[in-house]
Amino acid sequence: MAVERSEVTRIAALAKLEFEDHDIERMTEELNDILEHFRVLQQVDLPEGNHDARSAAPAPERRPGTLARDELSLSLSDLAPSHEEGFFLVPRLPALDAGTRDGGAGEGENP
Amino acid sequence: MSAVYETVIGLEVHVQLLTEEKLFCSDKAEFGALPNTRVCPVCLGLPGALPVLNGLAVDLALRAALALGCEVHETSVFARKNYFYPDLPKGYQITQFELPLATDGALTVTTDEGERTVRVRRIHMEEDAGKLLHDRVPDQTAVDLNRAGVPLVEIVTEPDLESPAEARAFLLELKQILGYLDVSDCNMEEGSLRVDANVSIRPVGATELGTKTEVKNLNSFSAVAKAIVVEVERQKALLDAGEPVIQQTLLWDEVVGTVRPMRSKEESHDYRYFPEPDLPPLKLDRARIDAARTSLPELPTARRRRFVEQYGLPVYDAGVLTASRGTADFFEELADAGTDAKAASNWVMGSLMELANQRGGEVSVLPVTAEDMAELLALVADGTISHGTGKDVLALMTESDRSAAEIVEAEGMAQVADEGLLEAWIHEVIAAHPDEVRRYREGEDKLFGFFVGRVMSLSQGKADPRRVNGLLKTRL
Amino acid sequence: MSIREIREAFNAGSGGPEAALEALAKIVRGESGNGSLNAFLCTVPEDALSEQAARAPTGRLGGVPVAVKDNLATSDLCTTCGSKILEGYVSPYEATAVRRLREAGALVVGKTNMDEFAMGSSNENSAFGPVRNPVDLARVPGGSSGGSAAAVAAGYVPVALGSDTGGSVRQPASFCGVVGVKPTYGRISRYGLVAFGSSLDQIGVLSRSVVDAAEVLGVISGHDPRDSTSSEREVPDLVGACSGDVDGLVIGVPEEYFPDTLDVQVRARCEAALERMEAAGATVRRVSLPHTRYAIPTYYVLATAEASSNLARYDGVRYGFRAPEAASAEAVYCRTRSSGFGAEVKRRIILGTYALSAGYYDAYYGRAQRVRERLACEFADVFAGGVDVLFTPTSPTVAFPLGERVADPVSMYLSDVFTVTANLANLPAISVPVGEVGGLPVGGQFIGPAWGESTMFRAAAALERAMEGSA
Repeated sequence: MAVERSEVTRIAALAKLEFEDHDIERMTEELNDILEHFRVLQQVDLPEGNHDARSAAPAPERRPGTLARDELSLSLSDLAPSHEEGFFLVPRLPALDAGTRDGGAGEGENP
Repeated sequence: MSAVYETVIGLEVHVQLLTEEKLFCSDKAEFGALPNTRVCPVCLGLPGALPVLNGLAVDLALRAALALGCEVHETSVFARKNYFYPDLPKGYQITQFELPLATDGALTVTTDEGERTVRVRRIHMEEDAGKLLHDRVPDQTAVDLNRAGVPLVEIVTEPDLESPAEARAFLLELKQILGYLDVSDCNMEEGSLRVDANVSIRPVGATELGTKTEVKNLNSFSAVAKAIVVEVERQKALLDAGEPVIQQTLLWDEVVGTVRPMRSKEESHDYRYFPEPDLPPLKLDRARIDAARTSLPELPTARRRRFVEQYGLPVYDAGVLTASRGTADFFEELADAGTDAKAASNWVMGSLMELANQRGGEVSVLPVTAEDMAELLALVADGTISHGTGKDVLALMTESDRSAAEIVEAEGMAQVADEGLLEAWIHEVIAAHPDEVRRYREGEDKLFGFFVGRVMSLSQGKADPRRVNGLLKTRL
Repeated sequence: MSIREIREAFNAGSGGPEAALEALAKIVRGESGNGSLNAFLCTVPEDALSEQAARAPTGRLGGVPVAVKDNLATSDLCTTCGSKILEGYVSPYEATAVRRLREAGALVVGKTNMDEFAMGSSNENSAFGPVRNPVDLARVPGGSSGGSAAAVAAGYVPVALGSDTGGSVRQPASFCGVVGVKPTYGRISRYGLVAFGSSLDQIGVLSRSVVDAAEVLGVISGHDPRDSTSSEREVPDLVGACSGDVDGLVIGVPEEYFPDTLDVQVRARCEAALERMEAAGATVRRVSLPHTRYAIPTYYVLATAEASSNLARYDGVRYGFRAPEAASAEAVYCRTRSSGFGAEVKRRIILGTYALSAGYYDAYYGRAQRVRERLACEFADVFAGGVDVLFTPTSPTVAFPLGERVADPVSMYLSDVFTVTANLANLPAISVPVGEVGGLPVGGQFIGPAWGESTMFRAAAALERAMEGSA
């Protein structure tokens, strides 16, 4: 199954990359060429089951106060492309997008 | 003609864990700091920075999972949820996906409609995003990453709730439990508890679920209930008009009292989850899980039941007293110090809660210990002071560190039981009101209260009312 | 001068910053005018270097000038990863490995050029121009640690740090005729190493001798509480291991690494090296690692998938480059990333995003994970079967001319075939010069068992001695 141009466009949008039309064309060809070489993966004879997560060493857990915060040696205003009053700035998001995040990530304040 | 529908609701609840440090770095997880001052290479997503798991957050999440009766998995795996948003510094959120911390729990809630057992599908740990402010700088959205990386658990229920009231009751019960566990303060206004509701309806008797919508932007318990009512009505109107319900995400507008569809595109929902390579799997051995289970405090439902059985309290009292762990502990200490349980309950639910409310807190924040209170109530019980005086003494106790006895002594608030003194006051009252005495003696019984009142007033409230009653009867 | 000589002079108080100043002077001279290697993206100013030297403690690397690949965070020099998107970026914190270098007395003289975000095998993918191979200026130095390899091969510095995700230390070492080592995954903290493929990335060392690589590896290895994947295992005495003999050592030679298509001259140099090892007392045993044929697709699926996520943070919001004309938040993202990343990086982000996206995850990422496990088991079985260390060519070819493969990404990917397996199986591996073909260096690779750096260094040092003895 070859990857369609429209699929590459969708993938590029997911990755927040813009391409000219001819670049999308080229990228589609390249992707198909590369995936052709990857097809061999589908032939590997693999044993059942996935023991990956269980066999690995456990995640170390830090206890509060045991690992000092790595202090920044530069101020954020020196790092940031756009910065004011301590905030990073981006051009204002569309109003309706505010407050629309999944609960897990933050809920923007409504304008 | 409108068909009869039933409502099906599932909740996704995000709860902020009460840890001092963030989930993957040592920055303080606190509110109110100047923007971007609680940040470090890790939560800023600087090139090369790596996450290190906060073990205390794991402990709290584990407690929450056990309290909700979940099966806790010995191995769970952190995953990256990939999407772009200015409040998400790394371009992905570290969460748990395929192998969450815990699954298959349940919580039983009670409403006027009866009991309902709500299954908990899963509980997983994840990091919070930063905050966006749209009004701070003209034409710009301002990004504050102080909250980025604050630990959360997400609790997902099965679609087992059947009414807005049940949804509300579930959230209140959840808040109580998590408060009992010191897992979270669950303050919806401050965002430490956030709720999304999945709502669908179906004709009564249907076995298949209807198309659901997800309602977001619910900022209070009442908003949850109101938004569900509105959304259910909207869906009913659609179905009655022969139109389909479209699966979509809706935003609750508190001001207008309506829901409206979210504008963002569907393509953004390909999150490309994969296991977080910077964090090995989280492993909780049996011993740790069992130890956490053993150390769980008694939960609100069990405690309510016990208060009724052990202290003979009315169900209502037990419910009020167990609403917070601190209040329940206070009551129990008071009752166990020898105070009559019902009297203790009345005092806690009455004067103490009133005083606490004035201070915007719970009974446990008052500078009065259960021991202090027991001493006060002993003075009331043995007649040293009246019930009314007791309230005054209590008020004074919250203003200084004097004990009840010291206050009664210093302020001369003890009841007077000295017959000589009482006789003198009664004599004075009788002498001063010959008219009323005559009318009383002619059969106007209701005037008795008048005499009691006069004597009490003459004694500045210190006369023991029972003795005044007895003596007055004989003298009149 | 060797690390030991520089250290002894420095620690005795007679050295001072001389070695480092001399290195800096060589770099400045070498990097200017015609014949510049373009190996460095920035260097430390001379007075700052003297100051550094005055403050540097005596230690295992006292006074030793070190070049550091530009994907390791340094708080005094740029950290651009060879990318326009990080042009001018200075890290507000320092990588653990760099901090450990400094604490051992080393002096960081500059940051080396590299393929953008370590994506490449020729160093032609740097936004700041390709690096040239000091052996032949018309040829590539290999990649992605091409600047580090060139700096060591040109004699600017005795040692340099690189990073190795699929061979990025070993392949350029082989192309430039120096030693390049990547330890077991988890041996060195990745804190401050700008991530490419997090489950594959390891910091590595390039040097002119095996023992110098051991000196530096010994300093930067060991547990770091800031990297949850760094191991608490004790670091063995690697310098001591270099003087061990190889009597009775069993060297496994996997047939899949000597295919019929292998350059005959490269094969000849590797076979000759094996003969010398046998002469030194080692036993050669032919073995098979059949899953090697799946290594390239497995590696490229996993590395690009992780990269697509790791590179999401470059969005023009908090640091680095932002496209100037962006009028909306969406435009800030798209324009910044589209004009900030180079062609190969974008190609890999697309590939990795595809491999993770809905509908393809199981066929690509999920499957590649499981093949990776199979491959690791296969290596473990060979070592459990009595093989102490494996020997292979480092690269199927010698350094190729600049521009030869830029238009053909697939052939570039396929050239990593001998190096990616050590990353996939989390194993330590080292490339050692084994001779020349037409004046161009050939590298041979030892792959050790997990945490078996001692044995690997013992074999590598013995081969180095055997090669010198015959030169």
